[in-house]
Amino acid sequence: MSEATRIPKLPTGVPGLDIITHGGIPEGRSVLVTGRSGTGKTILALQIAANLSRQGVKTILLAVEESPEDLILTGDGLGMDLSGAIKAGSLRVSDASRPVEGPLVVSGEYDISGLIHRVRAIVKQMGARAVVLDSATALFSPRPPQELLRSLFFQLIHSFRGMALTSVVVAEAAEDYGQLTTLGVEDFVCDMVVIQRNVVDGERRRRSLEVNKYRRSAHHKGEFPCTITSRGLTIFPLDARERPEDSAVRRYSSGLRGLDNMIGGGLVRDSIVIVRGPTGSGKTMLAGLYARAGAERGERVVYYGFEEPRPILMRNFAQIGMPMDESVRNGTLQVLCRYPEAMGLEDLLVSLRTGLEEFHPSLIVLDSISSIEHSSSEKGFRQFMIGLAALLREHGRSALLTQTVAGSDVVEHTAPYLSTIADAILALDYKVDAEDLQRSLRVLKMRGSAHVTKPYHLAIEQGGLRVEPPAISRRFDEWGTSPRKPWGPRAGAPLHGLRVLLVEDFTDARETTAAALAAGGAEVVEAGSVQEALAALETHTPDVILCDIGMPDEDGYALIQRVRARPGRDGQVPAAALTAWTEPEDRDKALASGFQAHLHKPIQPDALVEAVAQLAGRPASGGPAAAERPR
Amino acid sequence: MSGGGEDRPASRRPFELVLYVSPASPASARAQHNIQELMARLDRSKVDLDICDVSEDAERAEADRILFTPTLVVRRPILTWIVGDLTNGEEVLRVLRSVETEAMP
Repeated sequence: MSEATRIPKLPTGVPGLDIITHGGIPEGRSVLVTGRSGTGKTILALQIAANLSRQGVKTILLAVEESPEDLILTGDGLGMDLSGAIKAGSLRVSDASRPVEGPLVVSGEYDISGLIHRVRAIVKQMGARAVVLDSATALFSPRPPQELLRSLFFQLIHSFRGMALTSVVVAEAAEDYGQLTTLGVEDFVCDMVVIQRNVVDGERRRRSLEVNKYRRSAHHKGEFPCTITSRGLTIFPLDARERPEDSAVRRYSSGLRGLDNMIGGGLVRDSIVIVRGPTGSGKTMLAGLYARAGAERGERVVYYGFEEPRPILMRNFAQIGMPMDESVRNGTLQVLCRYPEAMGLEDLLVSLRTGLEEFHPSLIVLDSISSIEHSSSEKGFRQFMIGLAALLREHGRSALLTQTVAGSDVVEHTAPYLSTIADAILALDYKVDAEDLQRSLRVLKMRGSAHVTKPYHLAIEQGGLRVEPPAISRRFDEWGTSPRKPWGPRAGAPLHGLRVLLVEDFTDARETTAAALAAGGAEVVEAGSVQEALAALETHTPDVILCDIGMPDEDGYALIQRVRARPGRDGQVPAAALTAWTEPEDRDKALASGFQAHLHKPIQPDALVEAVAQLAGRPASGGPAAAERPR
Repeated sequence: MSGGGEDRPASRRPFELVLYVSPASPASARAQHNIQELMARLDRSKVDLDICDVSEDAERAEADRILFTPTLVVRRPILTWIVGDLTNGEEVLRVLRSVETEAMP
């Protein structure tokens, strides 16, 4: 059992709050809600009261600061339907405001039994299990001497506890950061303290909520962005690691096949991908391919464009040969262009949430988060991103976010919070050399998936983008005819200097495997059939052969038997079967046919590289590279 | 809103006082003692005094907006709340006299 589950809790139903409190407020205990005036304390308190009573936890609302009528009006105005709860008998509002009909004089000592007995009577009458007091500050005004105040507040909280009431007590603070409450006594007695803030940050208002203390319970620390809308308070928790682990990794195409090959077959479902690069590196195009592929699979996709007006964006996509109109028409794609400058970030988050709830997209594109970044303060942007991530996680959606960064920042610039948020980071870049613009695509990070780490070539062409592996990884029939020097594999890479003949009929699998080998430093000659492999062997002797077994026409057994029949060194090339046929008898048959190893598909790139290195007779890693063999 | 007093039989006496007390409260006990001392200094024929235990009649306490005990509610002639154990009797008498003056021009 984790610490978080040890004490009984009542879920508050306030969006986000139950996530950062690991389940809600402590049952039968007291919660202090504090903040400056205007931070939304009353709204939070009313929302908790309304939600608790709706859940069947009968609740007493003690109206001290405002009259019951005003409180009910406030709550009903925010859609909480306090009136309905009162009618249903699950909520009782008791007027604990100071009488205004006549003067109030204080003469001598007193205690708070009057209020306590009133609450006790209501508890007996309706079976209330929770009480919300708005507010302690108003209740103890004029303020009694500190000792008496402390004792009165203690009496009150202690009696709530004695009646097994879960209590929520609102109190005023003088400042956002400083003494927790103006009275200065409440937080010692309460089991949980929630601080609400409303800070002007740059030109924008930034609301946040912090669980400052939670006795006997773990909770998420720090300030979480929140917003107040016509539906009350919403907190945006960053909670990336709390969602239940989905053991099966589900993948989907990024819309760019070459990229899918770099990352083990596709993007991981419900992950957040950040595509980063300078202006003109192809981010929007990649975002468009991503959106279009999703829509063509029949998913619902929403594309938020923050960079240009919608007609221009749509026209640009059409011009590059990626028209989006059809998907928009059939309702699978929504393209929404907004100017973040014209919207507060909180409003933008709310509009994103509303979009998620109404359109139910499975893929979300934000192009670009940099436009958002530039329209807000650094802290505001950070809170937006955290809120956005929380929103996406909460709904379990996949998203692609583009970010404009320049120069060395493409690889290096990762604000830690962005890195936390992103499950995958792709870097697009270009270099201008004497004749040519060299574009590249690189996978900087990909959680939970193997991926190649080298930059791949990227080309912009009609219909979108094309990705090519950097190392020598060409079909045998191009071998020798192309004068182009490959991007040299690093000396010291485990497969540096090795030539591998890869025989695989299935193109995607072949490219993925080739990419992994190339990333390990090997030169790869690819063949799509036994015939092609035999032809390649006529001109080149590889150091290792990797061969699929199940292929049309002739299979892998046939190939290895023919290889082994060759005279001399050609017939002794070490070879491994790379196959999905993994039964013991398949293994026996492979070894009997002449393979030295039997590798199972799918195979992790590292394991593949290691196996190939072993076949070639070199240490798996870190060892000195074998001497170049004369050819 | 003068609260729960309205459905009670109207008193003809010019002063109507309700002292709200709670059991097991030293301040409430002191207030009960002090109010009797004060009553001795007032014309009893002009004063209606009722003592209400909030633990027994919480609804009446709610109607009279009682939060703290003891609280003396002066219902007539002018609605006034006096919170505390009435230790300072002079202050209470001053309140009563002032309302008396206001009530009897």
